Parts: sequence; structure tokens; C-alpha cells
Amino acid sequence: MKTYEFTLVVDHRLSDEEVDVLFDRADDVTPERELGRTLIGCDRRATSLAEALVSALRDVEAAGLMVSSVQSEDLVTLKEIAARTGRSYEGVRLLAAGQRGPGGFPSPMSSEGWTLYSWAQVRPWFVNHAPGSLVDDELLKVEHDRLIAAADHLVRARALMRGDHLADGLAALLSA
Amino acid sequence: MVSGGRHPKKPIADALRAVARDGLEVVEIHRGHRWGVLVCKVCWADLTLNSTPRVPEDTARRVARFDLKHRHEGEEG
Repeated sequence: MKTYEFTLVVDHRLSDEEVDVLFDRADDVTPERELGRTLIGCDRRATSLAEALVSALRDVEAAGLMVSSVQSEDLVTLKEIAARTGRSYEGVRLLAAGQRGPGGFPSPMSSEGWTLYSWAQVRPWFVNHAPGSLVDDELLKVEHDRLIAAADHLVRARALMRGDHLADGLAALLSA
Repeated sequence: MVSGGRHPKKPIADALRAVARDGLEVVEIHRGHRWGVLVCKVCWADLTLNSTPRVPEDTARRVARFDLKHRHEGEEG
């Protein structure tokens, strides 16, 4: 067992009564409010991050709240990728556009306006094609961040499909 | 400034003392499980503190992180 730290995002501002009910269900959470968002910081003992995420989400929702996402630092701009890999913005832009390097750079997660990439996808590309350029090499943190990014997508999808009869069909995508 | 009130768990009381500065305020509540709220007086973010958390050191770490996140140094306005 170890303690896993992560933050769940819920869909509304908590009333005093909701905070008390939440603390009744879970004495390892710390509610936080910032920039109009309500965050539930979790410090959960479990045998794995997945187990910690599932049990915390169940506790938070058993308190009558609705979890809408898992806070993640996964989405990054080309500028941030440049900073994390010690490269120039222009160099990274050319790699991403396939105009330099071996190609196969991960596709952006967005297509208009701000172009955002998944660090969980971009990092392995640099590991394979330019391992010397990575600044952050703490493997446990990398794995934690990758799982948190995936959990965020799953929880967002779950919130989007809540109560929808098509949800079961889409869930099969996970094992397709 | 952080008030003179003291959280019953020493690691949290120590953390609150360590982050005492003009931009943060502790509002004591003492109702239900809620001991109080740590408030950023610049952006009005807040952190609700349990009076009996399972691991006080975890809450203390979150207090320290809240302080770092809300220094707002070099920000406009």
C-alpha cells in the first residue's frame, strides 16, 4: 500500500453541508476552490493508482457529488514542449509538422486556435527519437502522469455519457 | 495574516504558521468536520481544512502547496 496523490474535479461549488458529508465519507480529501472550479485533493492509500482513483471517485460520488474530470497537466503547447525538451520553439514546430526529424510526431489534441498536444504521447516520441533531449526523467512520475491523463479522458467520457443508453457500447472501445 | 487560532493537528498547525503572510487568511469555522478555510486574498481561492484528517501530514503538504500556488508574484493587477 502507498499513498497516491491526485485531484478530482467536481461539477459545482460545494455547500457547507456537502463538505461535511464529504468529510464523513472520506477523511483523506481536501476540497479546494479556484478560478470557478471545485477541486477535491485526494491522498489515498491503495495498492495501485487505479484502485485509488476508483475508490476516491466512488466516495466523492457517494457523498452526492458528481466528478467531471481528473486534474491533469497533460495538455501542452509547442512552447511548453520546447521548454521540457530543451529545444527551440521553431525546432519543435518543425518536428511536429514532420518537416524535420523521422516523422510520426503525435497528432495534436486540438485542431483550431491553440494547438495542444498530449505530453503522455509526445514524451515517448522523444524517448524513441531524441532521448537526450528530455529534461524530466523521473520514471515513476512519468508513469503517474500518463495514467492520470488516461483517467481524465475516461472520467470525462463517463460524465459525458452519464445516463446515455449508448454508453455501454462505447465502453467496448477500451478493449477493442 | 493567518490568525492566531491553532489547528488541533500539529503538522497542520505548523504548516499554517509557516505560510502566514499578508496574502493568506485563515477563517476558522469549527462546524461539523470543518476546522476552517485557508483563503487567498488575491484570487479568493480557498482550501477547506478538516479538523480530523486521516493523515495530517498530507493536509499540511496541501497547505504548503496552496501557499506556493497563490503567491501571485509578478502577476498584473
